[in-house]
Amino acid sequence: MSEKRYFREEHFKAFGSVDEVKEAYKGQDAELIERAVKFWKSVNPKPPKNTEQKEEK
Amino acid sequence: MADNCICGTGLPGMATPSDCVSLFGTGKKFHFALLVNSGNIRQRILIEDAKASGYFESRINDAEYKDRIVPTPNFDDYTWTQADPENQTLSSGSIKKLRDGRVTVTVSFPDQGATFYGQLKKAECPRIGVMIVDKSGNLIGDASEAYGIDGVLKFMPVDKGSLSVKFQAATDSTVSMVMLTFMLEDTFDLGKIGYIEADDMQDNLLEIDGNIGAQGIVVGTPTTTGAIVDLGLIYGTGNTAPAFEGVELADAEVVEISPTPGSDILTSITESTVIPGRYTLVFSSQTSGDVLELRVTKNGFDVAPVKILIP
Repeated sequence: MSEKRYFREEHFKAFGSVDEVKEAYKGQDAELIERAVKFWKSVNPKPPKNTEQKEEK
Repeated sequence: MADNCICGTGLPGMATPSDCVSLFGTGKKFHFALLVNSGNIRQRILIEDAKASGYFESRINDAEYKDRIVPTPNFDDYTWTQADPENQTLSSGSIKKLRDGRVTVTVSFPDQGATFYGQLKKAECPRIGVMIVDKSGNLIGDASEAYGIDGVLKFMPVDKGSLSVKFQAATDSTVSMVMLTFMLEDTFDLGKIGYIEADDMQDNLLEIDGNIGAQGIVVGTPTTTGAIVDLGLIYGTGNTAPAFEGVELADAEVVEISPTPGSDILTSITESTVIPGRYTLVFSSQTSGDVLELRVTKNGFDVAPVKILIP
């Protein structure tokens, strides 16, 4: 919740990858980039791993 | 004022209630507003709304700035002077009234300086109205439409051009203060003045302050995707201003104003942990030459937009 007070969720959901976040924050200080990447990860959770496929292997 | 005679109506009753006549007291604070609101009608307060808690704060921070109420700090040295009527003396010695005397209001705001003087000066140009909060917190205004369930208290019209502000710097014999004078419009009927009792309102009008002015400046050179802005209050010593802290995403937007006016493009706004009031803005990629505007809307503050030129 707290980072939503500073980072716009819609914009971050539109970023397709960490690289796109880094590109948008190019030139900013490392701490801000880190916060932005962390926020991007929080609003773009990885899909759960396909456990069935794992078992087949 | 009603200078003309109305014929055929006889004389109205002139007795007053035997137990008590409701009177308001001396003024302590003004509530100013543009005389005409965004709907192009006389600025007003619905009396039923005024009774609700938080009503005045919502009007002070109204998203439509033309509808805002602008309270002043509490004042001193309040005077209300109605001039003597202007008369014509005929050759017989008979004196005929030409018009009623105009009302002039004067106050002083002690312990105020040049910045507040500058803010009050901005009220000299627009056509404004005034309500007066008396020492008991009653709200005094034009009560010509105050009756009934949809009753309203309207702002009393200030005669445009009559408002003047003076700044008294501190001297050996005076404290620093700002003096204000204005007249009411001559068309305003003083007989229509009425008020909403403090006891009927949940808000204490003597304790409600107006918004504090704030402004910003771009620090360094913006990029196509970001800028650093310092926000501070307009009050300060000249070379320092109190930082305007605590601005969040919900309070801010960045919009392109030239060449293609558009909607909010702000991706993030983060405040420095080292320098209070310093904000890093990141926004969608812009083109060189674009002119952006940072707009901050936060209750309690009146923030001038900050222009950002993309190099």
